[in-house]
Amino acid sequence: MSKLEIDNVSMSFAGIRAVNGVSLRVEEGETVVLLGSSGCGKTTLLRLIAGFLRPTSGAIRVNGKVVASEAIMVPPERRSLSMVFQSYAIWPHKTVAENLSYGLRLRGLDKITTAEKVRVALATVQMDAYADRYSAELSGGQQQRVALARALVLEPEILLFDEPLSNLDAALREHMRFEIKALLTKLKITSIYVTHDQNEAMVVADRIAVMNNGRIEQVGSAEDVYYRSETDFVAKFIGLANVFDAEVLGPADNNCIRLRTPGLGDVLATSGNRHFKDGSAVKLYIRPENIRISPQAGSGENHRRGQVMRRSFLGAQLDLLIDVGGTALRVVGPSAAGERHVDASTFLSFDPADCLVLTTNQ
Amino acid sequence: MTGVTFPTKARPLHLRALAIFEDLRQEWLRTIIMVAAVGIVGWLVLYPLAILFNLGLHSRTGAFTFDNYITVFSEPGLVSALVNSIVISAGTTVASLLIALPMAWAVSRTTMPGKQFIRLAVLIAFVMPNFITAIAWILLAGPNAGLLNVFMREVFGVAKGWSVFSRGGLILVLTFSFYPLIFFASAAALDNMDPSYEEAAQMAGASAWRGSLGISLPLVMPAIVSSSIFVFLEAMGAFGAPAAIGNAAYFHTLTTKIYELFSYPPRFELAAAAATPIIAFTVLGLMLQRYATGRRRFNVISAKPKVARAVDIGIGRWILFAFSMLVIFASVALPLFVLVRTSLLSRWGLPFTWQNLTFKNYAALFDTSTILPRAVGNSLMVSAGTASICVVLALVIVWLIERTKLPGRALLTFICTVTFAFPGIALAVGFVLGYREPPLALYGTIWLFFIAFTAHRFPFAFQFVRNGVKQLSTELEEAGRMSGASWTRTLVDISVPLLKSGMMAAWMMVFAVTLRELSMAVLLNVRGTETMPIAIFNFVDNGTFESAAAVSVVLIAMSILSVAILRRIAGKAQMEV
Repeated sequence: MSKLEIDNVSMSFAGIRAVNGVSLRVEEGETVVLLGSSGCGKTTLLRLIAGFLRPTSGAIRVNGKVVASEAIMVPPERRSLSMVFQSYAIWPHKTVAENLSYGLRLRGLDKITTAEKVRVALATVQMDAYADRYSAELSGGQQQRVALARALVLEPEILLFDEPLSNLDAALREHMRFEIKALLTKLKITSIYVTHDQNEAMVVADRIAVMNNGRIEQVGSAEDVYYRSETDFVAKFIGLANVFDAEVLGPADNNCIRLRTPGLGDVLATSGNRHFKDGSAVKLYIRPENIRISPQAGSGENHRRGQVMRRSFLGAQLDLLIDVGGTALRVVGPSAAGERHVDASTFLSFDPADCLVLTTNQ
Repeated sequence: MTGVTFPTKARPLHLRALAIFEDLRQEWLRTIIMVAAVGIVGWLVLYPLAILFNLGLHSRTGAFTFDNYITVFSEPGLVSALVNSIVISAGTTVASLLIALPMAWAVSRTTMPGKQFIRLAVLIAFVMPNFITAIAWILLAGPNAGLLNVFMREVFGVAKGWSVFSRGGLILVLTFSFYPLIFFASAAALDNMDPSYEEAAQMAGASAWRGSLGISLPLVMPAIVSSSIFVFLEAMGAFGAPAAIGNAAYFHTLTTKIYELFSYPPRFELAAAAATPIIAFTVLGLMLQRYATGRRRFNVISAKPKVARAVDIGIGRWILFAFSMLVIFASVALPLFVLVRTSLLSRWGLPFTWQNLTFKNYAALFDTSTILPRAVGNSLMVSAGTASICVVLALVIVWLIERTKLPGRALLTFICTVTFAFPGIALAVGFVLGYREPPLALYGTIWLFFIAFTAHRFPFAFQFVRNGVKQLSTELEEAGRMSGASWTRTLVDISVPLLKSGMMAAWMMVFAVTLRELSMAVLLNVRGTETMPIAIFNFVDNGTFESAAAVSVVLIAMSILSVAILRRIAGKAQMEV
């Protein structure tokens, strides 16, 4: 039995399907990130789990118990969940300690137990020195920690995060994502985490569910969705990719297939144990960092000659746009790999194993 | 999971109905509270209106007829009352615009001195009810004994001074009562306006003067139009001033005509029919206002206010300053002066000498042999009660409108705001007629005051509380639910404390406007239910102006106090959010 089961859930607002037949299982202690751009339905899905919205169809189960279906609607306060809100939602009329103890007191805990639990929770997020402050006296990062502590102190079955870091400045956001990950790993708490930031998703998630147009396009580890994207959307949304229309010419050695692209000529790519019919239309994805550059011409498959069109120095990396016989290729490599000037002639190559192929009808 | 399309079928209707019912059952307490609140507000507003129109369309025997409307318009004096109302309201609107616009522009946009003082002084003019301003001007410009006329006669030998007992006099009094509405609306709009528009005009080569006048005024036009319509409607619905002045000048307006039709022998059907033109004007005005302000009705909460650079208008600032001070002198200082002076005299019209000075007019407030102690008690009780009922109702209704997706919210909002500009006397006709007979025989008791005032003043509470709720993040309430609190619990523990200042501001606002309510009270009133405005009205009727002045001074002091508290709360509320 999974901790959380979402079973073919749909939700419509005024005729528009914000969530469209989504199914997802989340195991005990696992962190699943719902990742997608705004309007993809990730927040709606989270609010369906929380109980603020009612699914139009489908069912949601927590610990095997139905909390939302066509016949049942358990109100949010009786789902044993807690949530970290985007705006933190620290009640401004209560102190930090009162914010944390509110839910515990509602559960009938006595004062001493409550105080002890509040103290532990605040210590967990290093906010024990601020117990008597009001939210107006806290910085954004501190409010974020209090919001986290308030959610943790209730020891929920599932912890929900609604874009919790989006209101922090860039440096703090970067720091907090590692801290949240460490905390979730330590406490082994089941969580659903909504974000539009793929770096954040990759740090926090055990598994990432990439959402688009109200559907989950792919669920998998960060490596899965990055290296083994299953849909066109996922391949383009996660990281950068050079995308080419291609036609399957036929199988080749080592689990590879040979493709013909209008811009890049014939390319050898891994088939990833999937079968592609000869002559079928496919798409070819090559990530910019998987293209190697060298000043000398190499030999073998997937070697090309090009000319640097644009060069941007990004510190650790060099971002190049290279013209290969009229086709522009984005290439990202370590800056140390060598100085290249605009208009300089260069050679490039890519491993068939780094060439992702997807059929176009997806 | 890739690309798998789940078949999604629409849920059958009976299942959807079942789901809604299930929601309602689970949140049963919420459901009960909501249904009760909607029921109460709907009843309060719609029942008297239904009575009004129904009665206007039926004869004494109950048959459907348009005769009442025909009779009422052939009734002697009604057409002229209608004409008077329109002419006087239009005159008041134009005069108010002429006074308020230069002042508003000057305090908001120029380097004129004393801007803060002028805003405060206009606020006092705003607080003074029109019937008290009328009393003050009767004391100032009554044909024989008016202080100004006496002064002109004795100092300059002007034999026949100007008399306030005329249509022009009524326009003057109403203008001094209502110009603050245009002043505050225009000044607020100018204050909130993005100054870069003006700066752009200057970059384009316009002088500071032209940039400000040519660009700012058109941009705040919606605020000007909407407040002008409001002034027109207020003037149309005013009762106290027209009664005090029209009575002596032998002319009627629609409101005084309705009052007359209600007096012995009462002709209720005709009164109901006479009230309909006012209601028609109000509805028309509200529609115009909606049209004029369009979608920008709720842009009150603007982004961070940028402080606009004040336009240096050179010598013009002293001209505007003199003009503003003159207006304040005539609309605030002179009336307050004459009221206080008169309230200290043993008989109004006596010279202001030691032997004529007395505190007996104020002492009467505590003299139980007069109606005054009861009137003060009634006023405080009715105002506080009305304010409390309004705020509690507003909290529930606003939550329903802002936080749920229930169908019919637009209609509910309309019902909650429609009585805002309704003339009290017209609404009161519906209340008196609707509550005369069992099981609703509340006419003649103080309870009907609570009901009628709540119906009339609910929109104030509704708007204040609604602004508060709009600024309150939904997530604060959702966090309550996630912590394990039910809907009702969240409302009590989270929403109410956070809305406290908004609710207190709403309470003070309703309290302040109810305290001065005369036009409804005159119809609802019987012996024993007098309020302070009624007491003042009766004193004027009897010609005991010194007593009227004393009660007026106390009423104004109470109003200023409640507005001062309101400003403190409202200011604090802004800082908290």
